[in-house]
Amino acid sequence: MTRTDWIVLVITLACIVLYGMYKSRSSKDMEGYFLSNRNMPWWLVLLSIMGTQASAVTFIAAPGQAYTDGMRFLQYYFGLPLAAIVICITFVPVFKRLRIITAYEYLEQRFDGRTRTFTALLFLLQRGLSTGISVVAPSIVLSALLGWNLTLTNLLMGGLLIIYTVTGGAKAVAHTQKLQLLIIFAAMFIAGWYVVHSLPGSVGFTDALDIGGRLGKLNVITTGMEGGSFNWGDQFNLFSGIIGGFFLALSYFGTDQSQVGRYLTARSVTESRMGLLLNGLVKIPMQFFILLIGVLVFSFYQFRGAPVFFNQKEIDRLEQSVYKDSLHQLQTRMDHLQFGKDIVLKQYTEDKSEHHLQSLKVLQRQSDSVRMQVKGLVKQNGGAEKDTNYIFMRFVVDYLPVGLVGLLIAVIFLASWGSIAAALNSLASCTVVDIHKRYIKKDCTPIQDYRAGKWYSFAWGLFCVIAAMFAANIGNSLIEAVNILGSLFYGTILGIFLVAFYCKKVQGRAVFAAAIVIELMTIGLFVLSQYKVISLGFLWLNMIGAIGLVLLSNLLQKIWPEPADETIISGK
Amino acid sequence: MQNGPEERVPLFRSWTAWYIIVLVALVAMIAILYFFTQRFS
Repeated sequence: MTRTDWIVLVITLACIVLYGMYKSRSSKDMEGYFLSNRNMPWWLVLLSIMGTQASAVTFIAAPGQAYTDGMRFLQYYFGLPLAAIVICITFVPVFKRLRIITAYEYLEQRFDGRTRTFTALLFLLQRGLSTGISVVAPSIVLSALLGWNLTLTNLLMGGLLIIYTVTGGAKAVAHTQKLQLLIIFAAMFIAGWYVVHSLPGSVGFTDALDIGGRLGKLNVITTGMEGGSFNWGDQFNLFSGIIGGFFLALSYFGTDQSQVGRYLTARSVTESRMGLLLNGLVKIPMQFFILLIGVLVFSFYQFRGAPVFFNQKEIDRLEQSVYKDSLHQLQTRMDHLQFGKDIVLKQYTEDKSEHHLQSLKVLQRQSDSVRMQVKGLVKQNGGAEKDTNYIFMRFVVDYLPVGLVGLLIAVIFLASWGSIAAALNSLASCTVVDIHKRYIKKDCTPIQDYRAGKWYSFAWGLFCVIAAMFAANIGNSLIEAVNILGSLFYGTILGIFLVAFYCKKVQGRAVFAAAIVIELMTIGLFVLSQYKVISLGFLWLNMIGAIGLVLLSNLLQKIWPEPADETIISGK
Repeated sequence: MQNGPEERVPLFRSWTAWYIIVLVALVAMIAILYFFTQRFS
């Protein structure tokens, strides 16, 4: 990185921290600290929801995903607008009417204390671990690409935002997310423009799309049908996107405190609903644009020649290993293929003939094969064979002009901070409201609640940074595992809320027992799919868990009804 | 889907209109993306 890039990076990050501290004033009680006194307008709620959902991985991994697998990942978001409608109809009015701070408070009013505590603990476990990984995932990529110290990168990624998150609570989180998103969108738009600008003179935007599309990267809509039957193991297709994505989004936006806490800051039900619905509308185009950048980068590399492997650190390790000669042979092979591509691409962009297209496809298949062989070498050498997360940032570092590199690296930090800050705020609110005030200190003054909120925000921030340090030693495999961590718990949590809202006869004991059984079943299904005993994409776990819990709790309520005295105790 | 006494729905009479708009927009986006896929595949 040049000095200019460093200046851009430091100024951008410093501005966000200072702006967050400037916006830190809030009333010294729980409503002020955790929900910004419930006075946010809809557009700030919208930006806060978007900023919480879009983590650094969104901007690092999504373009790489489009580069390797095409744009079909977009279908993952098709269930989101549907979920937003259900949440607006059912969840928002109840949460706002009860004036709760965390979603899990409602479960005690509806069922009992143990169901509330169980659900809150599931949330804390899942969100705490995944936030730790949110810190380390981009840190690993940046430290590998730029040669930075990983511990220091972790501290910057997860440490600086603690300053304004602890001092300002939900208000500082929302206002910084607004500024962060503005910078992120501007930088990504400039990066997208620059990719097109960097193509050879005779190649325009539609040519780049044409090449990406003909080579299978613009596969936005896929059905998941293979050989006349539906492939349940296929992660991203129209049906898993709409159905599985619906349940995942319903869980995430309806029951995950990191998102519930965003729209509870709204000044009315109307403002909450507008924020949620508009997020449902803009998320798909936004994600389309980010994935499209990945396809444009793919087309760019068709002309410039892509590296055999995008994580240079692993290539450097191979150079020092017994696989050095094999690597050199594969690199030479890739160079020859690129020479052939240069000739064919020149002919194809001139006449777009089917013959040249077929030649290009053959060359691309051979290039993919070389990449696979290099990945095999990396794996044999004990390295991480997946380089998807490195593709976009490698392009940024290698080809973007001075200044823009610093800005794009700042984007990764800002995206990371936006989601982590909201997560810390929600972890702290859940700990104070659902654990601390119920089990540790029940009678607190507002100022004591406020101080507890600050301390727990700080403690969770520290936990996430420390978790990131440990996770860094394990590497990419854990990052992939934690991406599906949500699906292990979301189905159960959503099922509990669905029973609460829609199954009025089901009481606490039935839902609590069903929740434990279903959680164990979900983990069992996941283990079976990991060992290839069954073929099941992780998106389906949410649906199976949620529907399974609704059915089982209804069944248990019928065959094992709650005794009358327990009903009275739990307030029914 | 009933509106609270203090709640005014922006632009429309009820939230149902907003929900229909979101659904129509989703279907339209999927249709456009389908034709986009067909056009470049």
